[in-house]
Amino acid sequence: MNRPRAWLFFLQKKRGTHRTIPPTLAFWGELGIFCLILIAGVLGVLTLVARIFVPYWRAVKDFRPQFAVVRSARVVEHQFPEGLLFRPEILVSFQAAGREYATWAYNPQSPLGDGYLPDRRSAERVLSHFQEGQGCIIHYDPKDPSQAFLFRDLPWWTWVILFVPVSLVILGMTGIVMVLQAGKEQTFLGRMVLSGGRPALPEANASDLWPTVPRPLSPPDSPGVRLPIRLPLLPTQWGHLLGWLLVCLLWNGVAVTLFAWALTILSLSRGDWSFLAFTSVLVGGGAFWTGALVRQAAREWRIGPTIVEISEQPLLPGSRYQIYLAQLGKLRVNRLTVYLVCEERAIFREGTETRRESRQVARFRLFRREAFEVHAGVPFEAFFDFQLPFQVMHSFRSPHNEIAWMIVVENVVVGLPPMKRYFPVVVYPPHSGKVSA
Amino acid sequence: MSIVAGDSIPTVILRLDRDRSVYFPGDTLSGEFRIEGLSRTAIEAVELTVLWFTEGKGTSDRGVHTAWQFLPSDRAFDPRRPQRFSTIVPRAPWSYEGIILKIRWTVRLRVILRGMPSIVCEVPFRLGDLPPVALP
Repeated sequence: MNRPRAWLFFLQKKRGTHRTIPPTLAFWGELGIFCLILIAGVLGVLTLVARIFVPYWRAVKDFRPQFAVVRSARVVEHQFPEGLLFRPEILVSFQAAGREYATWAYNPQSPLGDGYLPDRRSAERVLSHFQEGQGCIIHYDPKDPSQAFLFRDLPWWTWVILFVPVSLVILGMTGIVMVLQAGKEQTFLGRMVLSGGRPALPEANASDLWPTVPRPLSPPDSPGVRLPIRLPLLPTQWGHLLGWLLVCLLWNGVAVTLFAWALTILSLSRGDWSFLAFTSVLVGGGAFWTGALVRQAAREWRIGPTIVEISEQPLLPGSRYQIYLAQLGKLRVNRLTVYLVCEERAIFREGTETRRESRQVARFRLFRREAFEVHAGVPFEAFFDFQLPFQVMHSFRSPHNEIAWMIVVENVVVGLPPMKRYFPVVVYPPHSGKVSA
Repeated sequence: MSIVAGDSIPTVILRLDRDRSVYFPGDTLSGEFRIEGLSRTAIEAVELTVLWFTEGKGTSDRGVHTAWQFLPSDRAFDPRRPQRFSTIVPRAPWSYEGIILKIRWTVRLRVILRGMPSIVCEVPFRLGDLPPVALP
């Protein structure tokens, strides 16, 4: 089979290999996409500010409210490049600075700007609220009283609409930061200092390779109550939950905005039912998602915190360590198991996407207890010790690859799916040379 | 252990002193190289590097433990004669044969030629004697 020509890179297979396009192209492509999203968001914010918020701000700052009488009404048509637009205007008479004024006034706050609406029917509906001889409040410019507007307070939906461009700005900025950070990642560790025929790195500095072994927490960093070091909980539970709640809030904000928009369009004119149906699906999806997250949060809350403390860190192959485990909350536990787990993790690119993969390569059961109850205010506590096997790999971390050790506490609670909590530990290479079994 | 790169001319010989390819932290890794069939003027530089690199699912990472550069302008450097090198093996990272990640060590010699592609030859070695990972 003929292979695609090199210049037809965009026709090459996108999946199945780690990289199908040059990394530089992928970097600039991703950066360009997020820049476009950011620009779209910024333009959206500026448009909303210019068309809705600035007129309102001017009304508050520069214009004076005044009672006026409606004399007449009309719809002004104006042909714009994007089509024919309509502006409802009323003729009002009012007194200012001892003089009588009569002028055509309109409300400049509209999504299309300068008071224009997309169709005549919407404009006539606005005018139907003003009857001849009826009183109303207008805002006039004290420097030029012939300038008068029908300002209103900002409607609630303007804040909801603002959600859309603000979300785009956040998405664009986050994406740009992530792409730039990924671009900065060094794939070349250590120092490459070359010199004539002598070692570039003095032997005393051979430990420059230690950056590949993560630093463990010391007792002052995280002191325990029963044992010297309290292990931190990986942010897989509450951290991820909060992250997803934020994303869910953004999603719901956008969905509700679009739904409100669809309803507004439908009420102003004949509208588009398909758009309303689409936004209803978005709102429904958001509601389902919110429900799932709330259930997850409730489950976390019900199980209560888990505390793991250890006698010493870093761990060394062949050495013994003591563990203190405490489970708080109010629950009936079917089974509680503690494992020491080793995991390989890899980051790689597929096309323009960055993917992660992990594989558990070692698991040692340290503790198991079945059928017991945890009462509120009286935590379940256990002390146990274990010996790290001799021939195990040490913790390792480089920009795209990692070997991570962790203590995993698995709770099987009555009425809830199994819940795992992860407490990372660091394993160092053995002090002496050769290890023996 | 030695690796010979190239046909009859030019020939690059890279050799480690130990026959066994397993080293432990603190061991001395030493060896020599020589280049035959190339005049001094044809060589721009010779780089010798002791480095580790990763293989597997993730994007490859690598790190240099020690590097030397030999320049023909240095009168003491005669590529036809054995050039000795020696370094202390570091504590980490250990050689590792995992499922989606492998960590390998190698001594890499790169002969940069004037107006021609470089010649590269490597002698792999192991840091530590961890057995390959077997899935539980």
